[in-house]
Amino acid sequence: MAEYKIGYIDTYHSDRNVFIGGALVTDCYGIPLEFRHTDAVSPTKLEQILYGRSLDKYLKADTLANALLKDLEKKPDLLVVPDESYYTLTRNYPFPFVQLGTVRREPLAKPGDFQEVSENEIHLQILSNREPVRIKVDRKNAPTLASVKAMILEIGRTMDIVEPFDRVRGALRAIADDAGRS
Amino acid sequence: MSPRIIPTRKVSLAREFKTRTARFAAGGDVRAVPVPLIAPQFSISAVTPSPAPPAMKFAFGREELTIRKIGFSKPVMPKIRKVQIQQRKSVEGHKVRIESARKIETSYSAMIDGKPVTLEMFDLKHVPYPEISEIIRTLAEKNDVSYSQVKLIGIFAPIPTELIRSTHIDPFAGKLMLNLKRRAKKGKPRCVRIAFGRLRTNDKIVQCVLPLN
Repeated sequence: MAEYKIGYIDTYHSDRNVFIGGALVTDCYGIPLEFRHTDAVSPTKLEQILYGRSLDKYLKADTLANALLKDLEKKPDLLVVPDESYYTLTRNYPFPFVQLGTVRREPLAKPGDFQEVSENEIHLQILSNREPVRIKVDRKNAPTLASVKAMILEIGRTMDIVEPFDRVRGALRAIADDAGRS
Repeated sequence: MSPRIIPTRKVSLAREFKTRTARFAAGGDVRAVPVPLIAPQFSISAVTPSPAPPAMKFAFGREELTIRKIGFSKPVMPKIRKVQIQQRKSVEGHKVRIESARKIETSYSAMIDGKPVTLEMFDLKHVPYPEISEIIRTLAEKNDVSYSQVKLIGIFAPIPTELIRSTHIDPFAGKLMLNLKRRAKKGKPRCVRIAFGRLRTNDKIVQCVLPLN
């Protein structure tokens, strides 16, 4: 079995309009290998007006995620992203970007079974008697879905592949709270 | 021309009636009081229309109409004068720097290193009953109690057994916290399922290891 490294990236937007990005790289057991976070970025009123609706996407992907992925020392084999706004960065990095989530539905017959939802999304059964995992890649990278599926099936036998997201979010919230207090 | 017939109007005589009140003395005679009628006021008059205006003949002359050419003089072009505007020698511009476009610094943090890995338990409605029954039986045999003495809490997976430093189960939230070591002593860790149950006699939490499927 290959020793895959899985990356998780997310952004926390606090009530005080502070954005903090964080990236976690774990081994195939979910043990942290590297966690980096950005400075707290607070867009000014002028920036909010100039960027409008694109501010959120710009801050998340082009600014925070880009800085994090460049600075990561341990590059992941697979990057798990929370939403589609990060897909704009896929061309700049050699690893696939993927959205993961648990599907509230009946389990499929056996591990390895999958159901195609669309050309770039599938529901994959990793462990028996569990809900399948939703795997979605960028539409442009739909041909990579087969290799991503194989990788996730292997990783899913040694760790809960969705769980580290909660750790990243919890850590970012704690950092943002600390930044707000100081 | 005969005179037009003028329509007449009928005027009701009763229009001008006036009423009078008569007083009746006790035991007095009632007398008729003559009420004068007012003569109707209307008349008939003959209206003679005014005579029609006499027709007039217009004679058209045979004189030729002469067309005269009236020359317009060329308009005088207005002269354009250059007006000197005093320009400001230097215009000050303000460059708006987008703060978020600057280089974002990132820093390494060890705050996640010590965080436990949290696993959610299996939804037991997706686990077939014979399998649940088998797990309860295993838990009962391991703890030398009867089948009915064990209450199943939940099943968790995948758990790398060799990496476990400590576990903590939250039966109410249905979560298992795993404190994992960074590396196994030798070889690759074996991943298993762990089932947790509670003994009905003393509320003790018991567990058993099951193969991953």
